[in-house]
Amino acid sequence: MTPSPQSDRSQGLARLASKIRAGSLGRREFLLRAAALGLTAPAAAVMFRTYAAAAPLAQTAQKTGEITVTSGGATTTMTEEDLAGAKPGGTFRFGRGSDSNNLDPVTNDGNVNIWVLMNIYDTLVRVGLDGASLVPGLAESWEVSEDGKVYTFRLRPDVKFSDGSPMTSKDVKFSWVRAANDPNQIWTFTLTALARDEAGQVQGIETPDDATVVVSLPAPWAPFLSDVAMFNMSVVSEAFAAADPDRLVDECMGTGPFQLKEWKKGESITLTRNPNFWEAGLPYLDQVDVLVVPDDNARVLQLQGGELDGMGDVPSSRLQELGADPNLKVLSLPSTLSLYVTLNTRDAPLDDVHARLALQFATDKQTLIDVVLFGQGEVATSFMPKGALYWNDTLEGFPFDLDRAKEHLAQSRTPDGFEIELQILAGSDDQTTLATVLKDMWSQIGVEVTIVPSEAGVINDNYMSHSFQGMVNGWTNDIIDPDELVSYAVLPESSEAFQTGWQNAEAQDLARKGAAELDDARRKEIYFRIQELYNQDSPMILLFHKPYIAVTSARVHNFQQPPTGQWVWVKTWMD
Amino acid sequence: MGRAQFVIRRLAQMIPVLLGVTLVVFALLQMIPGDPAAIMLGIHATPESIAALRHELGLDRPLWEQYLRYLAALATLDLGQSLKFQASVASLLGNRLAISLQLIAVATLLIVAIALPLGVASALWKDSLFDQAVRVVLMVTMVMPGFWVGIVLLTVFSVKFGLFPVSGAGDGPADRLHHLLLPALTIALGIVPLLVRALRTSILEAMQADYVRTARAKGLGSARVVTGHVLRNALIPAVTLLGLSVGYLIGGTVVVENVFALPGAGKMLVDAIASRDYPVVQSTTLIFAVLVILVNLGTDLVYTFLDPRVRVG
Repeated sequence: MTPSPQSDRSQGLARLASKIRAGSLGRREFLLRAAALGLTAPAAAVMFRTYAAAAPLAQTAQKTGEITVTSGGATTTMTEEDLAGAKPGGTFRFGRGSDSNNLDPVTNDGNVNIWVLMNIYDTLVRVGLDGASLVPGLAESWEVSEDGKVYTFRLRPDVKFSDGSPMTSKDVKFSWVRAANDPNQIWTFTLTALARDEAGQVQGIETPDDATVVVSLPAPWAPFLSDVAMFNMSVVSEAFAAADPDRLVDECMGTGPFQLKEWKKGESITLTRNPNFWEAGLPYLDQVDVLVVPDDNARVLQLQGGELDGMGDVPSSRLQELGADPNLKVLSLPSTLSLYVTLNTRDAPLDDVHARLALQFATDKQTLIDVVLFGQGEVATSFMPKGALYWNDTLEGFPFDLDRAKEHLAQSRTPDGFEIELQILAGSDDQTTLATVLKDMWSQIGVEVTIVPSEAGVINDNYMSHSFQGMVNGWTNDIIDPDELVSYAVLPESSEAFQTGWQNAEAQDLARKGAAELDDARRKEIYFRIQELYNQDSPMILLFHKPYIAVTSARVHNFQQPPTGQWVWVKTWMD
Repeated sequence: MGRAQFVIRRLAQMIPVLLGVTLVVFALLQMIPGDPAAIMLGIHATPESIAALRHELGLDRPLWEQYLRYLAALATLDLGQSLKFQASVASLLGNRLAISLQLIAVATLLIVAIALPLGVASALWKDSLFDQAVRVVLMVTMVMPGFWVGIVLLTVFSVKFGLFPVSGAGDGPADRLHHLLLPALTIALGIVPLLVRALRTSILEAMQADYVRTARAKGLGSARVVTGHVLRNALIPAVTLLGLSVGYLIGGTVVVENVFALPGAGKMLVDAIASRDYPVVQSTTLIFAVLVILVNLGTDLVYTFLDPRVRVG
């Protein structure tokens, strides 16, 4: 390895980095030393933030977002991983409503695939269990250049794929180029920051040696590390996939805690522990069976009968009953899942901000949570998920206030009320209840709601062509960086501001600036202001944040699901 | 004409019927809103990426061309390529169709096994306590939706008494039968009530007939009268009903496959409609249509065995 001209500084930075990670260096001291090494303040701030978020690995516990566990009618809170008494072995049988259809990290089409494949593959950077930090994954450290354009990742040594072949920087480059090259893939939108040539092919990813990956961006891009932590940037074995990438739909070759042993389509996916996994002593489980049980009631019956050790897709109406069972644990996990009513602000009467604000104040969100979610949820005061990075905790939101609602309506062009159509997904119990309650609430201020349940394909069509007045929609973050949601909800390109057609020049300008701004404090200001503007104009009715709910047998410990959503079984263990 | 000729003629008639089915399904699918490419790409899709995917899947070609391509492939027994799964429809259907067919077969056997004795008994012990009880119970199972009946059976026989597995299709013939019994029973209980009533009525009617009085006068015992003379006549309306119910049977598999987590073709069809996976919907419907036609053909043939007066053709 030829020493690069930067090597002294890199070494100095690496030493500082490890000190931050170990917690032995405070922020002020670091900034002074970083400045001495020639790092400018913005880059130093980014560096500190990412390294300080990194926790040491394996068997020491990590802080989680506050998880509530209800068993036998009693509720406790978990804020750290439950590793006391962890023992290896066992098969975890987990039931869910539908099967995966594509386990390729790049071409898959949704959670039903992502939440499983993230146990088979790894990324260089991982999301921490609190959902607001980034920790080392396959990269044990990284550095960012002072101008924020060059990222140098140092890979963990001796990492092997599940077939025993070594992972090198070439596999990383192969995987990342594949993830970013096809502009028509679902997830490429997160990788627009990478450099490209005229043909649109990704440039700027270099592998000076087997253990180093260097990415040069054409312009600073604050969300980049969050993008690296996303599932589409998982490291796949080049030797396995290069000749025929289509095989990745049904077959996997990753470095994650589990490997794919068998997949009976429509029935079950069997994962077995990866004997070559790089975290010593993990995973605890020998095997995970992900079983398909489409009917809600049948799934619950199986769990109660002991044929399943855990289940996802839990119907809200059964939560109380399940929580009262001492043999089961109901886990309520902090999420980035939010529900809204998107409003089409292009046409009357909803083009009038007072009409929209009237609806906001006429919505009793806590009652909605109690009736629709059986109490499992939190009132939304911002369109961003509660507790997420740069979530504005100073916002008042829209407390339920019929007088204020009527005042706003009086100021609108339709002071005597108006009629609107609310589109919901047919067959969804939750959405039907939600719409019915909203109809009642809004009738109190003279707004007549016609509920239109439509089938998924129709809803999708109407959504994409914005042929709706009001529609119930939801969101989960794929990355922890606010840019994903903010771009989608504020900017006109491709999403037309969550299809609301909302146009606010200041908010759009800030959204673009936020993506390029590297300084933590300034970014926070930008995103706080965007949320303020959003609430002022109210293009969507904010409803609530809904936690992820999973139910497991009382014998199961450490079933994890960080706020970005995926199931994490690496540290799950059973009595 | 002989039976063989009859069968061949009916099979030949099947072709225009099936063509009609493919045309109707194709037209319906194109008329309903919802674009497969947009659904596959999700909410982050840009108009450009949707257009590119539509082109890749051949969805931007004129409709008549898409239809003719589908027919041409069918002629070579190629059922098409799933838009969603990037696999041939045949490979997706293969095992699943077997499970659905087995489910329908077991359900049919159960229907006959339950309806026949119940129908005869209800007729012979007309208006007795037994007759009334059967009528009430069957009214309930007929009226209640399939998934309710299924869940009740599951709760009682699988969870409480542990007699049957809760879900899945099982491995090997004996295990498969064990897994399919409750789901098949669920479907059967939807049709049995109709058949029992039909049988009861037609047996009672037949019992009034002259030839029955003649048989009794000849000295034949009750059992012989019933089985030898009454039943063969009384069965004809019941068989008609059973044949007509095949459509319901196939529809019932969809609900039951959901409740009992059976990886069958019915469930796949519903999912394919939701994701607008045109080739899967078209080919699966076609196969179900073939099934219904063959069953009707079979029903007509059964008549000829039951009633020698019925001539084919």
